[in-house]
Amino acid sequence: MALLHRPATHSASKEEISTRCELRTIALVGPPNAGKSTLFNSLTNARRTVGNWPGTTVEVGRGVGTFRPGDGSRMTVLDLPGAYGLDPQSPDEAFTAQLLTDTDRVRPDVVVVIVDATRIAQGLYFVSQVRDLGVPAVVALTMIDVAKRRGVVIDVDKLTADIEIPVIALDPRRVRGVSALGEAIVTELETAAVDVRGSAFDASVEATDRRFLWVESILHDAVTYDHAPLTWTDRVDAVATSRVFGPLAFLVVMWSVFQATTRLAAPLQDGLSNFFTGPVASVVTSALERVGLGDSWLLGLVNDGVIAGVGMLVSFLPLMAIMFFLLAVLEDSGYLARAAVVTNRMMRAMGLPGKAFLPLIVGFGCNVPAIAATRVLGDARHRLLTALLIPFTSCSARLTVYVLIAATFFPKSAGNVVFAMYVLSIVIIVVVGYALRATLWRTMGTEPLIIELPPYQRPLARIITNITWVRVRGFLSTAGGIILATVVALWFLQSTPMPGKSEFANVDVSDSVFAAASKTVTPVFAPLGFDDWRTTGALVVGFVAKEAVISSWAQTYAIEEPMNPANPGELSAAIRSDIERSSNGNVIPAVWAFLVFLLAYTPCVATLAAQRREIGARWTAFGVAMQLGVAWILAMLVFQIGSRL
Amino acid sequence: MPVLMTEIPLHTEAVIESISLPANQQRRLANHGIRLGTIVSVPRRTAGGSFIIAIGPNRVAVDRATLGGIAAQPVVAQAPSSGHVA
Repeated sequence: MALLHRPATHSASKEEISTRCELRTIALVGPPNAGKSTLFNSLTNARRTVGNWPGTTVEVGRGVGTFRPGDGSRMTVLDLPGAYGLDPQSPDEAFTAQLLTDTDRVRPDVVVVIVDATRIAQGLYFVSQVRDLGVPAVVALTMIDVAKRRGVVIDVDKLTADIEIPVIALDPRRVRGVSALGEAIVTELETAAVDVRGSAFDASVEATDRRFLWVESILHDAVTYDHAPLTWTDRVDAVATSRVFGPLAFLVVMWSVFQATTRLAAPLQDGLSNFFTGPVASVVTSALERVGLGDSWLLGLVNDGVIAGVGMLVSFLPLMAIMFFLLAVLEDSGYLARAAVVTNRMMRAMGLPGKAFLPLIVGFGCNVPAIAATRVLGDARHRLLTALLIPFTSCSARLTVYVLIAATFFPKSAGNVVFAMYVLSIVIIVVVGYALRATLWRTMGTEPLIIELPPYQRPLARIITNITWVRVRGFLSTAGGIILATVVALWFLQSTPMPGKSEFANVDVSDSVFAAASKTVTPVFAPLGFDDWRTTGALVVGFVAKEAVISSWAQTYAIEEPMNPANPGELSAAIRSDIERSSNGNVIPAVWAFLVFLLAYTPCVATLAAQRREIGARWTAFGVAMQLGVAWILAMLVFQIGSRL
Repeated sequence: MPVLMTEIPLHTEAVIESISLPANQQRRLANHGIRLGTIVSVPRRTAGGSFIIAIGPNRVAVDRATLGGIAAQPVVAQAPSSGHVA
């Protein structure tokens, strides 16, 4: 859910871009992790997700910015996926290249090449290609202060004169120099020729060599290299990527994230939960009673459907926000690229490149943007395999259910149980990935690991808050509607009696349509130790969205105050009672089996939609079957073995 | 005589003399500044069986097979680490 934008911005298809740009168009291009999305946000006041790791942008962002206040210089700004040049090696790079090199389409009016001063040769190579196209261009030079600290001194005036393109040094993270860039863009537009189709792109080896020679000559003239001191990035990396301490550091970092998430969220959830089940429910009940609807089914729908749904959604927010915040800190600091290196060997065992770790780690926040992030991988089979594995990454929606179950059955070690679920998630990904590699993709080659390690940077509160807010809002706008609709639909199913039983909205849940439907699938779960219709009904609802599992239980058990997973109260007792009965007293094995099933089966319909978009309906269906099969087999093994120990 | 980068001691600066890798890998390395004539060093091995290549102030992690496809000539010890890096 990371790639969601305010109304001013949205992800646009290539056709949209070429047909909808009534305003003049500015395209932001450059290598991955050069600061394009941060600059895009500064130019358009948008909130596009940014991160200090390659591959943050895998879709095109579109926004509108005013570059010279007062003279109406409003322009469309496109944030294109990161590319090292116009000779692409992955689909997201191909998209950027095609937009700039396709002479049959109208090209952007001005191309802004973002050049990271710490990697100036890389950026200038891209500049050389854009220059060859003959389109109006401006260079935005970022990270100049970091480069200076690392011994790279750039003479901006000389650079401008040498490349014959305006160069603006700026810091988009702190919004410094952005207005100067706007001025340069407007000036470039005013002086540029009307026809911006430019020349065809020459991708020959000779042209590439010529460009590298050009870059070399520019560097000789405009850049000096002092002796680079040992930076603190080097010192931290000596531990973070160390053969011994690297994996330990990775585990400690991830453990800390999940401990902090579960511990910090609980008290906040208490407050929100109490607010909805207390004052809000009371006010609504009083209001309905005053208008004579106190005894009607509407009171049940509003209290048990709408308020329960909204309350549950809101009570999730602290959990989601803390998780998104901590992942954003890791992203913005630059640690995630190191994590990809540390996990490289594990990834290669599955035939995947180390870079595949990046979409997988995004999956721990939410599976939906993670599926889209597979586009950073160059090989189509790597993308397919990664997209099939992402649903096994334990997203934050599942976290809410873990917390409830852990607080119910393992109150003294809830944090460790939750952490164990994340470790198990990684184990399942490795095992399933290895199995798929050994069977369906035996001929798949491995992509070499070549990944840049950006300098560590101190995460900025503004950027972290921004990322967190974009993701929380994405959760609210996509999952929110699904959760609310599911809760209301569930209320109707539970309020509708089977033929000949009672009347609508005045029916025992066990006589409802919901119970009847749940009972039909219940026998399948007998070998797993939780063949109780209330439990299986919750899992069926969880197919739509995992967040709705708790509300399903709450409604099924008709318990009024169930919305705080960390303090489940009566709900806890009700669930415990049913699992005791269905497992014949083998409660702990059945609980673990339930947790394992919850982890491994299909995450939500939104993930399926994202998968269908990226890998097609056939592979999506294969994925669903595989997830259900893996979930059932693992949960069955856990219960059967656990109950015999 | 150029030697494979995997055989050059850690922290030793070397000039890349040849790269025997598929064209797309060569291009990817070039995108990160690793190409013929570049002065590089390998400051350390990492977890996961990879190596860090230092190109001036920049750091790129590569796997053993990729590093083994690069041959370089170690720079004489007294040479300063400053200078142009493309």
